[in-house]
Amino acid sequence: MAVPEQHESRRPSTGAVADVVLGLFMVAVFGWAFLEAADWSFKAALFPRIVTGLGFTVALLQVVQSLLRLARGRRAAADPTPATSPAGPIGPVPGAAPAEAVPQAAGTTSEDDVNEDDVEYVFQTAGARRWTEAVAWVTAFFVLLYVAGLFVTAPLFSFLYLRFAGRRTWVFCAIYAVVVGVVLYAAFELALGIPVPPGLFLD
Amino acid sequence: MNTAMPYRRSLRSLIALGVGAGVLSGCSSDSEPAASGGGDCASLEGETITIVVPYEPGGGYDSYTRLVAPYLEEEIGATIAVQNQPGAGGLLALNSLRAEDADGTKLAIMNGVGAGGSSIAGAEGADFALDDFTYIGRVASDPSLLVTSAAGEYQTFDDILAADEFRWGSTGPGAEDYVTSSLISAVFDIPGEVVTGFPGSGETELAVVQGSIDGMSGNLTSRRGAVEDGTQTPVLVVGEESPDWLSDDVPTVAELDTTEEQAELLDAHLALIELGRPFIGPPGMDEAATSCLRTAMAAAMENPELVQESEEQERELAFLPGDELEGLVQDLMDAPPAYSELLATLY
Amino acid sequence: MLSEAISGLTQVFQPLPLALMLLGVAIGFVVGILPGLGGAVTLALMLPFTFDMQPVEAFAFLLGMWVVTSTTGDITSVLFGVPGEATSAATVLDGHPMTKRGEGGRALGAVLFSSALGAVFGALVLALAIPVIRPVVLAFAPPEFFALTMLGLTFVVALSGKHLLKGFIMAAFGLLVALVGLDPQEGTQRYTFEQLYLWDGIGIVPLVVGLFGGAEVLQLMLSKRSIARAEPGATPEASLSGVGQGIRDVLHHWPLVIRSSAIGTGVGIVPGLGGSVAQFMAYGAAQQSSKTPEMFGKGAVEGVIASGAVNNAKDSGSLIPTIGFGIPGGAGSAVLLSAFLIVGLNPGEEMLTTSLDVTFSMIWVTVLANFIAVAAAFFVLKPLTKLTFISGPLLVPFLLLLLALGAYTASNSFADVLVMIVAAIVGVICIRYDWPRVPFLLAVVLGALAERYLFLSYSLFEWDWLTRPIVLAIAAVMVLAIVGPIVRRARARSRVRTAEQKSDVSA
Repeated sequence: MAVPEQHESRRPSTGAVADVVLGLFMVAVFGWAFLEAADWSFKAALFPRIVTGLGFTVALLQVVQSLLRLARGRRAAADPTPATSPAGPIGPVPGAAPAEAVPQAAGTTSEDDVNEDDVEYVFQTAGARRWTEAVAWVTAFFVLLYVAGLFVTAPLFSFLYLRFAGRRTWVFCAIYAVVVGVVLYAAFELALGIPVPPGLFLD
Repeated sequence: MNTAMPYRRSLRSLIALGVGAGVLSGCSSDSEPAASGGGDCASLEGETITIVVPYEPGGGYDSYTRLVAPYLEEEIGATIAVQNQPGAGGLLALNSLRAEDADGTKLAIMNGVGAGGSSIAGAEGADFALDDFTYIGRVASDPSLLVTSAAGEYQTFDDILAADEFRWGSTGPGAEDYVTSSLISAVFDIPGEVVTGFPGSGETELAVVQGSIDGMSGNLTSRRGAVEDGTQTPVLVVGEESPDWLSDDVPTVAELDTTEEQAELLDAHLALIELGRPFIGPPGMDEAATSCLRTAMAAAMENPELVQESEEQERELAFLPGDELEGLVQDLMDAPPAYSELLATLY
Repeated sequence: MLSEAISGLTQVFQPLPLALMLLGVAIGFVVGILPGLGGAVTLALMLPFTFDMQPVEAFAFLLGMWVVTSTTGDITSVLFGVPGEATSAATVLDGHPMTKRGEGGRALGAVLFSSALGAVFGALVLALAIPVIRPVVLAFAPPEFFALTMLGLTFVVALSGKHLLKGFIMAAFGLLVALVGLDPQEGTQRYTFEQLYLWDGIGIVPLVVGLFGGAEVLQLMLSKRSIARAEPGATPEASLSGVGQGIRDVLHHWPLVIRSSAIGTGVGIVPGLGGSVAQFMAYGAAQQSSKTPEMFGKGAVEGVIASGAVNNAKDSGSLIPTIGFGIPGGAGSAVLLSAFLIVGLNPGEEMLTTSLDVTFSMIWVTVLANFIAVAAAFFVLKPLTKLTFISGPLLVPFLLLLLALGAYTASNSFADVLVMIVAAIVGVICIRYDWPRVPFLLAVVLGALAERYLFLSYSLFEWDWLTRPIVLAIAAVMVLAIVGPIVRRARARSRVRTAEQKSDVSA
């Protein structure tokens, strides 16, 4: 387990906190699922009990491990003269300190955390505002899809999204919306004849 | 949900993709309104009728529906869309059919043994009674065939009756193979067990051929290949009639010596099997639409082209008019309590 | 046998079968690119058109279409990070990062070329298996299937990357998700929350689409940039010139192609396992044997090659039990089985004797159709690759629609869309907080089967099944698969330690 520790120790502390929270969540899920299996017959419950029991134990281990790491990180941060590293700051500092950049066994090179094209990077650095915006658009899309069906949602959402999130011209958005609508209708309704979300009113 | 596929139309666009027109001439007949049925189809003409298949595409129910739909379409003068809506072993689609508009634009194909049986057994998940639905007509009957491994020690049904321990294979409780084999075991007091958990009938067949289970129950027509191939031995037809391709030595259930008690249970189960695979509509369907659909289906099922096509596909048709199905359902509702009690243990 | 092989080829090379095969390839091409719409469903929809066809014509059409779907599904995976088929999820892992790096052309070249080679390998195995097809199929029973699912699960270790503990948790979570539904032995409802929709379990297609595609779309919405990195040097033209590089990569890694194809064919034979498992077994094996396992998931061309080859080899594998016994190896071959009956063929002995030429024509079709599709794909690569260089927001509505439709068409229920959304949330959390997704998916696919086959093995053979030769052989492979990486890791660690000691001394 030396490898992940090495890696974790130089992550921002939000990562360690998240590991604890997610770990606890998994503990709760497995615990609930284990109890849920109590009423079932032996055959039906055997596999669930094994799976959830194992899951519960491993998740608990993970929580303990992340807590330990968190505590160690705090201690290191509180202590201004860390004994282990002569080459500068250690602990919850983003970015790799030179001393930590020792080649890791089966792990990864240090650059993987700072590559700008990584999904991880985008998710970590996008601000709260961007997150709110993106999630709101996605929510709107699926609610609209549920309520109004595909053939309304596709052009309408394309139009609104490109106009307000993409900042395109009105004309561009209108053309895009019409093309999307027509192509979808032609492909799914006329050519393939495959059911698509109909919406609440078109049943 | 009226966005489903009017597949006659899609076929034309397919052809437009570039096949020589002659290739598919046999199935590219026109679907313009040609209401020739005697029923009153005014309300349905030009409409889109959806027939829901409660299973994934490609299975027997799906194939039968897609086979008959174009001919029905021709008779009614409506567009018919076949839509797959799998879920809860076929119960989901039937539960939701109960709440649909009863104007004849929403139909389904039902699994008599599977869904009907769960309803009689009062199984969880079946929120309908058999006599809720409006019956249009039966597409096919659904007899089962009991088979054993050709290399095994049980080569006739009498061998099975004499067995000390007979092991059936099945996918799981509530499935047709489980219900039929458990019921036969219970009625004839065959010692042994039903091994459950096979992912599908293919895997069960494999186990029969390998000899790790002694036998199974399965759809009669689907067994044909294996029986002719000689890897599976047919031992009993659980249905009214034996097909031509099966040797006369293979008995049907009715030909067995039974006590009155046994006969009562078997008759009730045969009635359930007789229900087969009918097209059904929501409860209390509009009368004009019902009579239109019934007449149209009766006419469509006699269409020589359909008969020929079904023979080519080895999908035997067995039409039974809607009113006769209703009688059958009534018999089932009046079945002896012993039968529903027995079924209740199997779902 | 040789004369039948030639006769099969000449039967395919008639105008009508060829034309039908081209039509099938065209349909399969489009279906493969669209997420959700799978090969099996399309086969079922096309089945009615074969009623009047001769056997070879029908199979040219259907097989041509079917084998192509998994090839072109990889294109969507590589370019947009949304799996075009449930079997193309592994391609996303490395193919999409390569696209982001501006190496989309190289990734596509590699995945398409190795797909074609995989198809050839699978067809070859199928052809060679003909004399022994029936004994081979008979040798596999539930115990062997169970052993194979366990072998699949051991790849959790390799696929967890640097977070072994998290990988185990995600695998357990995946097994839990696989348990949702009616239990296979007694029909008890497990974790169904009184919802009928959940009786049949969680659908794999919406899960895969959400888990992998959801995060990519959200990322585009957050960054508002093009998929491929916009920097000098990374242009569509430069990316496309990588196609040749991708093909060379495949040739360079030829042992990997053969091993992945072998995994695909082997798993394909097993009824019920299928492509969604095979891809991750091949991917995990590629990672284990790689000299640079740390690059996997960040755009390693080996990962792309493995997932390309495995997909097309598995189709031939799943034809083996279908032809030999009329027992389908998967959903797609189940539909093909109905086609056998429609054209008046009885799978089984007949296909291996009197109709052997038809069997060979099927083998030829799988090879030819793949080559045609790959050749055609190279022509459309240019416009498709350009898409990854246009502004991100332009693609967002299109990709969101792909996600929604991909999920919805799985069983025509909005509940599938909800499953997809939840899977997308899981995927995003996994990426944001560095939890591995792949062990989760692998466990979902394998969990239900593992339970079924374990109980079946016990019901059929009690504990005797543990000593069956094939089971023992698979167990040996499992031990190697677990011990191998641990030894390697330990050795590497001791190397690091020596290096540290040295640097300590020098300091």
